[in-house]
Amino acid sequence: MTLYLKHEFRKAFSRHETWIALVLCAGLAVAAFLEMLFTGITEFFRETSSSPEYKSMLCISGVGSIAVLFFVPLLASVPAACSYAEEKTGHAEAVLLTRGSRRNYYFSKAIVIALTAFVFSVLPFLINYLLCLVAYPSADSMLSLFQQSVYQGNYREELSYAVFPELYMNAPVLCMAAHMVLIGLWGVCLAELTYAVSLIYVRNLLTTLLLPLIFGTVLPLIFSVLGLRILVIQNYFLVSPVIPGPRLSLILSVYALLLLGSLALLLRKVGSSSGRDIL
Amino acid sequence: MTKNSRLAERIITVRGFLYIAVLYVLYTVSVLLTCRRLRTDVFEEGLCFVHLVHLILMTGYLLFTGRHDSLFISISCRLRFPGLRSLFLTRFRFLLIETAFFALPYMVLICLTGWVHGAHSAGFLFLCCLNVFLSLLAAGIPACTIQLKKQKNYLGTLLVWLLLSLDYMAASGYFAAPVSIFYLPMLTPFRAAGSGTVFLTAAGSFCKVLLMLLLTAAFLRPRRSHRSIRLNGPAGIILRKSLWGIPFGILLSLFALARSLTSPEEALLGLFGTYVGDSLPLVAEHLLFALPLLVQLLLFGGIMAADREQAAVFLFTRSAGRRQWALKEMGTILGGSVLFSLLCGIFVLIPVLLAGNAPADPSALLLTAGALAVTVIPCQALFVLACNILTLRLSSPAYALWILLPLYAGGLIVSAFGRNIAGGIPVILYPSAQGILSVHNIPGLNELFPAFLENPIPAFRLWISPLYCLILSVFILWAGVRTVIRKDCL
Repeated sequence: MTLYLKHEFRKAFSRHETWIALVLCAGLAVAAFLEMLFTGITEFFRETSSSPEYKSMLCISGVGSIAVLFFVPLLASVPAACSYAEEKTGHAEAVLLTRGSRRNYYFSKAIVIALTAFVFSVLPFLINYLLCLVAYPSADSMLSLFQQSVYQGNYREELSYAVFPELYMNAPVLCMAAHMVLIGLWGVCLAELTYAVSLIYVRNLLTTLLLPLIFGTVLPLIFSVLGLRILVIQNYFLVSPVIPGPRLSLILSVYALLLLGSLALLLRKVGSSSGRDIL
Repeated sequence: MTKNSRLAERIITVRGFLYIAVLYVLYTVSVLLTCRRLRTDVFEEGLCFVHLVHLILMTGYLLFTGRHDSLFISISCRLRFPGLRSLFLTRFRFLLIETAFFALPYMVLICLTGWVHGAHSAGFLFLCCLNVFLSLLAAGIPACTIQLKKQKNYLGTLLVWLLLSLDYMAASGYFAAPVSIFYLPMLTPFRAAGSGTVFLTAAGSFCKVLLMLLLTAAFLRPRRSHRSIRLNGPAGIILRKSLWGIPFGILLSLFALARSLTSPEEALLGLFGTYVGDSLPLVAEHLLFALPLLVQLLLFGGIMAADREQAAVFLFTRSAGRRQWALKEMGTILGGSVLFSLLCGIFVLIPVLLAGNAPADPSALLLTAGALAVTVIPCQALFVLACNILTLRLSSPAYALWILLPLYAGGLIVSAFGRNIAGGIPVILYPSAQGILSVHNIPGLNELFPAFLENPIPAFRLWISPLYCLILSVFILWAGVRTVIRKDCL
């Protein structure tokens, strides 16, 4: 397992695409930061939001909202999720499989994909936050919370919109970190789905890359058609969500379903390939 | 003893009769209890309770037929038939009998209540019974077809039940728009006033059965293997892929109906992300703007690279030349993409119009459709072509996506902020902003959506967009041919 893990990590970080993805992460963070700086969004949020941390969430900018929809799935998938498809088409799979067990080979890929996907999904948000911290050194959260008079702000209503109400009030930085974890987990789910698709369909890499991305964009459409806006995952990435009464358990269930689906495909692949002649 | 009579013995059993009897007793008791709870004395109304029909009768029917399908799936039975079609035809004959047996108590209930209340003629009641029978058959055919094809017990039962559950939710008003195509036509005739409506509904159910049979014939057709190397080009496969525009268009139209984008003009504009109403967030606008392109990239994006990787040595050594191969391939991809968009647009409009939403201004609708056809559709086709060439040239689809997706999604940002820069020239020259610009120039639409469609660029004319696309397509075709000729594919 360790051998495969080392190989996968080395392979992931020796690819040009991975380094370009890193540059893109930084580019997205800087673009969102500049947009917030020059379009006055920050001022708006400074005056209206109850905590200064919320102005540094990438999602609130136009660039950030596009990034969450279209770039996070790609950034999560590009470094490692297509490695199996490439090895299969390049016939390197047979060489690697002989150096260990099939189970280790497939599962080490899944582990590396999960780790890289999490890092690459969260990275733009982290860089953006660091830039915002430099530009606007954060004041004490409770102080800013009570800038408004208690008679002016309706905090009960505001809390009903929060995914993590206790963190939202007491520890805004942790609240933002928790939202980043949600985004990272979404990236992990989509990257694992890409890997699962690549186990079945290896003819066209573009299809492998695009299918989870389209899945991630069509899913909100379907939930909207069904009237289940509470299940639209992208809403949960905002620190101040737009849906009343968000339920974290529902979103975690969607994540679990996606991961279980990917795992089922992975186990099916391991089962079907065991005992088969490698060459 | 013949094969058919042996099968009939296994299918029509006393246990089956008992099953149906128990199910109908449960159904009748449930209807009576529900009527009592709702304080209604008319049992006839109880026959239209969708939840009871779905949860008891339809579930029971699908399980009843699914259990018999397992007999036809067994290898001992399959071996006795020359092919899947003949197996299905025999199964279909038995399905007719099973459906008639299953629907018989329901028909008796219909006739009984009709006779008790005395409000309906014999012809009306006959048409109601026929409608129920045909509706049940329309649900049973796909279930047994899927089971026969995939050879999995209760797979079709489960899939059809899930689809019918969606229809049940639509019929019960869970969705914003009542788009039920199964339960409402099946159950509304009891409440209908005249025989004409019932006749039309029964005719609709007959059409549904015919459609299911046609789909079954297509589903059970022996498939040719596409894995072999194609020397004659992938035109057929690409054009077949463009048929995905139909379900995609229907999904978008359902979204439009669910989000109250009920005017056909609004739905059409919403499809291309140029206008999604005031009730939707900006994210939805971005999503709808890029989604048709993403689906097209999925279907047609990597065709040239995949063909080159798998069959270059055979293609280039046998075809007249690389130039011809590239031109033929790119032409087919362009055609497929345009066909996909057209089908998508048509099937966005059809459900919206069928839901009873008349266009506010027919001339504006025609102009909008025409403007989008000459601006957005060629633009998306060119992006698909560019993706093929970039994937071929840069050897990785990730680079192509990273270049093309921001370029396309940037159309919204450029059209929003670039109008006041140099008289709007950057917007006019931006490829994916063409569709947005073209709809801003339609006079009828300006009156329909005054708050949104304002501040047009005076220098823009509609003919600029197709001309621009033509020049761009010539350039992309030239770049594509050059890439194929220069790149070492072997």
